[in-house]
Amino acid sequence: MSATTREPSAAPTLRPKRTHPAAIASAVLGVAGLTLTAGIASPFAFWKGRQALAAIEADPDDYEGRNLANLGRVLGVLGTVLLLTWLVLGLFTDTLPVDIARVFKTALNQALGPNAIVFALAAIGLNVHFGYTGLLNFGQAGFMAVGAYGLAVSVVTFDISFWAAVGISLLAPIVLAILLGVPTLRLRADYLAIATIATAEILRLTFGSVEMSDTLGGSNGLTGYASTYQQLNPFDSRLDLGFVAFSARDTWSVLVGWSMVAICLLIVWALMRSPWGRVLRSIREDEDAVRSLGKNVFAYKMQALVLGGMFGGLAGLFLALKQASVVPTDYSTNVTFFAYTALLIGGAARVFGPVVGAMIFWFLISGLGSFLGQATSGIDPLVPTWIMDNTQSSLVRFIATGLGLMLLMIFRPQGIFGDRREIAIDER
Amino acid sequence: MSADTEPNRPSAAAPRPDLSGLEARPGVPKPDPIVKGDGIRRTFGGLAAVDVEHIEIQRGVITALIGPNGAGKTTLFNLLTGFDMPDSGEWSFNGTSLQRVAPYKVARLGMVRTFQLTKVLAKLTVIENMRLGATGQRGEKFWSAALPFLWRSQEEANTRRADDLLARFKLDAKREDFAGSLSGGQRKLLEMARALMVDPELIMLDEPMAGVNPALKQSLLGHVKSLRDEGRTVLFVEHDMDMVRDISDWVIVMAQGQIVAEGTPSEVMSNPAVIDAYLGAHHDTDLTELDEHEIDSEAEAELAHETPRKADKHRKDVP
Ligand SMILES: Nc1ncnc2c1ncn2[C@@H]1O[C@H](COP(=O)(O)OP(=O)(O)O)[C@@H](O)[C@H]1O
Ligand SMILES: [Mg+2]
Repeated sequence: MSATTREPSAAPTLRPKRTHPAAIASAVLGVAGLTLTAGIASPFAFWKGRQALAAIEADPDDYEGRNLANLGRVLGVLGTVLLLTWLVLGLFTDTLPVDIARVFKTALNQALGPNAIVFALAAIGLNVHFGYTGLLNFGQAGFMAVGAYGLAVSVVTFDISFWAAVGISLLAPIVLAILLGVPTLRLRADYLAIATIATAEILRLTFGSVEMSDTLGGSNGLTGYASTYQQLNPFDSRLDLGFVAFSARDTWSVLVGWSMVAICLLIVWALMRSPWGRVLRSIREDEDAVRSLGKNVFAYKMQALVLGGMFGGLAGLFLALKQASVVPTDYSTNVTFFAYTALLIGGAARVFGPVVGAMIFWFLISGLGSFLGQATSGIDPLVPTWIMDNTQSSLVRFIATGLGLMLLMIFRPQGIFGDRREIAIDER
Repeated sequence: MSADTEPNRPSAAAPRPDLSGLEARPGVPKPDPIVKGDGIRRTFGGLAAVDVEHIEIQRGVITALIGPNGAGKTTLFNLLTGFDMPDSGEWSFNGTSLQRVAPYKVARLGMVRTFQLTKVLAKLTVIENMRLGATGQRGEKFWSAALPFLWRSQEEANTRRADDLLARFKLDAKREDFAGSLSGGQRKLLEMARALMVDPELIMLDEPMAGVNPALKQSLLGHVKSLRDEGRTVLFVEHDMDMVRDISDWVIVMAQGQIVAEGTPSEVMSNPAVIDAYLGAHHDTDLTELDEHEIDSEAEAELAHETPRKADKHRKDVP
């Protein structure tokens, strides 16, 4: 079989064998499954291990790594058994100090709650930038910050009315996008990346600076601008649907937030199916080709930067509203990268990608957080303290999420919604 | 249908200009030049990639630009279309000076080029590549993009025109495929067809036949001729001498950045200066049978500088 699939080579070349990549993946996943990810990675380790063995079997001249694959497979089985045991024990008995139902409820609450909305909005903006146009904006947190502070500073420091302040908050990201775009969008892609990440940091440090704390609130941030928003809240009691529950305030934010997401998605959907969206996708592929056909590439990139930046600003505005306070640490570069994570999970250049991605991201982060938190607390914790203690567990969930992202890139590089065919195209 | 798909060119009916009486020397003035350039010079480090004293391209005919690899043909294309900046020189298209005019504006003026290393948009389908070429699209404006009723009819007309062109270039079977899945020759065809969507007055083809299979080459020759018969002007770079002899009305020969000869195909092919400059060491070989391997590796070397605008970004400010 192998002889027919491989190209006929003139002479039997002495090519060195290489370890099949799936074998390495399997072993890594197998170890990760038993340690960091509490069994979640294990079924994948098993699967990859089988894949690797089959591939090595089919092509023994080219590949090695049988032992690694076997190791991954065995560890995968062990981890899967462990995972199933935990699930069964946790769901149906009291023997485990972990309440699996609570874990799921926490996770679902976060996946549908205000935090996921913030990241969904930010990721929708990044989707316009990176997914459709190929612009590397690493400063989405900066757009969020000007959106949030545009509102807070206007109301608190300058005593402008709430609705006028909302207007300022919507305009601020446009100004920022133009300031960033004019000098960089004519240059290579990397310049925008550098300029955006630097600007976002400068903004965060400025907003938190001691010198400007009279105007911008310093590291304590600003509060007391959201009363109009809260007065509009028609809900006066807690919403409990069984699988999710929100406080009255959160219910209002969830309603407002998902409506905002829906409108943004509608805008993206309508624009990206149009010839305008086609130009953006073409720019992502090859700017010079687009130029040669008479399109003003700079203008299109600027429009995309402004549009995506506005979505970012909206994310900041919503964060400021739902939280009723702005603090500079909420706009660190981490936020940008988590939004990118959400985008890649859901699938770039897909309308729903960033939203589904943000929901999954928050589901995993908070689900794992809740599970590991419970598993490491109490007098006799499920996970012995020499492996991980309670304070460490809140960090481990990020490590685990990173691993999850790796898994995704291995198995579905196009994200949940992406088009496999697009990935399969090689750039000749 | 063809009434609105074929460009309406006033010159289409006019008789083709006869260039046979023209003096065969470099930089000779043409009766009705569409492009006119003077003192165009572009250096890379110490090397003068292009150093053209005077060039004129006659309107309504097919002009071939030939010369050995590294002669500066692609660089001249880049300069004329604004994709690269010259050290000095000026040129005009239809009397409009193109000094420091951005590439997209050059294209809008009606001067559209293809690339030696094809630039198809791999993750767009073939038909989407084609649609992108159409100019003046209302749907490409931000404010009307979200309102399909404003652009749908125009889009349909563009699609019809695109389908006609695809059929002409035998790509209709590939209509819904990603352009990235096409073969090298098919990409050349798609790029040419897409450039025609712009409805250019002057189309500049950089090695359009490279990688196109011989059977298709013949029909492509016919298409290029028909472009001229529609009233368009064609300037093309080609290594295939049979093709040059077959379809070009005028030939410009470059070597080491300079125009070393001009003339009708037969004049040029019998010009000893050309044979010298062009063939160099390959004196006895048929041009079409130059060492394939050598050509390949030279093409690869060109990959690195195909779009010098990018590579030279930082260097541009240095005097
Ligand atoms: N961006 C660049 N940087 C350095 N040298 C270049 C660049 N572009 C072209 N050259 C050089 O200029 C000369 C002409 O190249 P080119 O125009 O591609 O030739 P042709 O298309 O006639 O084969 C070659 O010697 C090439 O090495
Ligand atoms: Mg060339």
